[in-house]
Amino acid sequence: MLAALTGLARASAPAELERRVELELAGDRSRRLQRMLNSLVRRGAPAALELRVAESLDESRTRGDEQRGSRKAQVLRALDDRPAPGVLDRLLREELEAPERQRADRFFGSLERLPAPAALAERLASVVRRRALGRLVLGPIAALAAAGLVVWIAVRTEEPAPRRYRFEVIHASSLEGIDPMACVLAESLGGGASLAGGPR
Amino acid sequence: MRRHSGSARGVLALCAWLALATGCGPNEAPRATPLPADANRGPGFLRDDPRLSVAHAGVRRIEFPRVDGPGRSFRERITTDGQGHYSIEPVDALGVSGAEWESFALLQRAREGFVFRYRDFLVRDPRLFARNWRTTVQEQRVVVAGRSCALYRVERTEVAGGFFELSIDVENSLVLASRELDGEGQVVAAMTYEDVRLDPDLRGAVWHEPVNEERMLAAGADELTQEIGARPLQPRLLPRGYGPLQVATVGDGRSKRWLMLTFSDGVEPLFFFQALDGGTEADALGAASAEAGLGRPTPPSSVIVFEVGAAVAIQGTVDGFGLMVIGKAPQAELLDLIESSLPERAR
Repeated sequence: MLAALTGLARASAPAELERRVELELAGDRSRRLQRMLNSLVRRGAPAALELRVAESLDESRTRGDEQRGSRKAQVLRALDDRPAPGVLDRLLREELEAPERQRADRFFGSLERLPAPAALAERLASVVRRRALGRLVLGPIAALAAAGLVVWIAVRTEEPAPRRYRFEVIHASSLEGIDPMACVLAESLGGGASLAGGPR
Repeated sequence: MRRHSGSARGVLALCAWLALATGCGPNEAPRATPLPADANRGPGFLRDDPRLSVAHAGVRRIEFPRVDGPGRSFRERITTDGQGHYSIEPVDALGVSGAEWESFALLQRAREGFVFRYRDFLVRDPRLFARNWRTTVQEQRVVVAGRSCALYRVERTEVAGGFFELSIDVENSLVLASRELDGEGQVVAAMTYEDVRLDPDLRGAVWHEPVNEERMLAAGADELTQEIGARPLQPRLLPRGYGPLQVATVGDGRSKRWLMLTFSDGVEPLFFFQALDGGTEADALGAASAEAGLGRPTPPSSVIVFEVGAAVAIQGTVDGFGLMVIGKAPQAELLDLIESSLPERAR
């Protein structure tokens, strides 16, 4: 079985992965920031912007390039600044505090899932047919033991530190004191019915 | 940010490898064809709610294996007139006492609107659905309640997690059976029509009448401020794949009004409520604090988290804002959502 696996052509990681790992290890946070920004709610441009752009375009027809650029900068400066939400700071800080864990999780999760080649199944089948009964029994047992060890190592991770929010989080084990409307909606989604009240 | 566990993926990959290594390969899966992401080119149930346009009546079995009591497995009768009216009436449940069932049936009738709108599988936003979900249709057909159905599998494209198995009436796109499964293949919820009539007698039907005073609003922040007379909170960090769906104000039947922002990933709804009359009742937080064994006065900014089946609900008062969030998303992501909605503190 091992021979069948080792006999397969070795596939190399794509060059893009290597480049991204190098960039991350070199401290490049741009992709991390990009992912965070992508997770934010997409906001439409405010109506005021459209109005000002339209006004600017009307005026620009009669002005030169320099005046037009100056006018655009003025319009953009006049818009309200929208700061990034504070929670982004916290998430980024948590990521920077444990970069190895975040990086391993991210790379492992984003790898493309490749199917096993057909040649592997064929080789395994031919190998299995040739093996004696004892090997057929001992092989899987050894594989299971090794797998159990790997699973144990993978699962045996440290308890992650609790997140720090601006508010205290209380975990309720019953629905006593819970707002009826929250109950109704939660039970509509998750099933059950334990509390009267709430709108329809 | 990605939050799903790399360990879980590793375990799954290992199990798959072990199955191969021990010669116990998976059964040959039935042939399936992926559908185009564009909902306009797919079957009708990916674009609209067929329950609203197809008049029908039927009895269906509802199951929530993770819930105790009469809500675990029961039957209900659904009637629609094809013009937007509907009625859902509980019929019976197995293994519960008469009193339990009567209470449950009363609650279900009172929650008829929420149950119809949010419990059944429904594509709530074709654009978000196309972005977040992948649909495959099986070659085989099945018969549900005497109707020929096509089998569909609907699963998320990026976020690891659950999926749906749907039996869709090939003539009218009604979802006649659905099963929601979690990432480990365990059934979370199931619905199956036991019988269905497409020419129902509607003379005795008592249609649902909404009483939650729901009023749809424009989504712009300025318009919202004008409409509700208060500054609306705007969540800026949503669970992966979610986007805004609609904005409304609702009453809770106790003279209290809420701003309700509904988000969705195309299928699952997620609700964010902001109290328009101040924070949530102090006694509610106090009761939950005592129940949770806090042993001290409830902090001024705190939330209570509780779970019902696969759904998570969070309510509380933060910085003077009364808030509620309900959805089928990880608790940490819902707490992040709340934090991202709060005004920035002076630095």
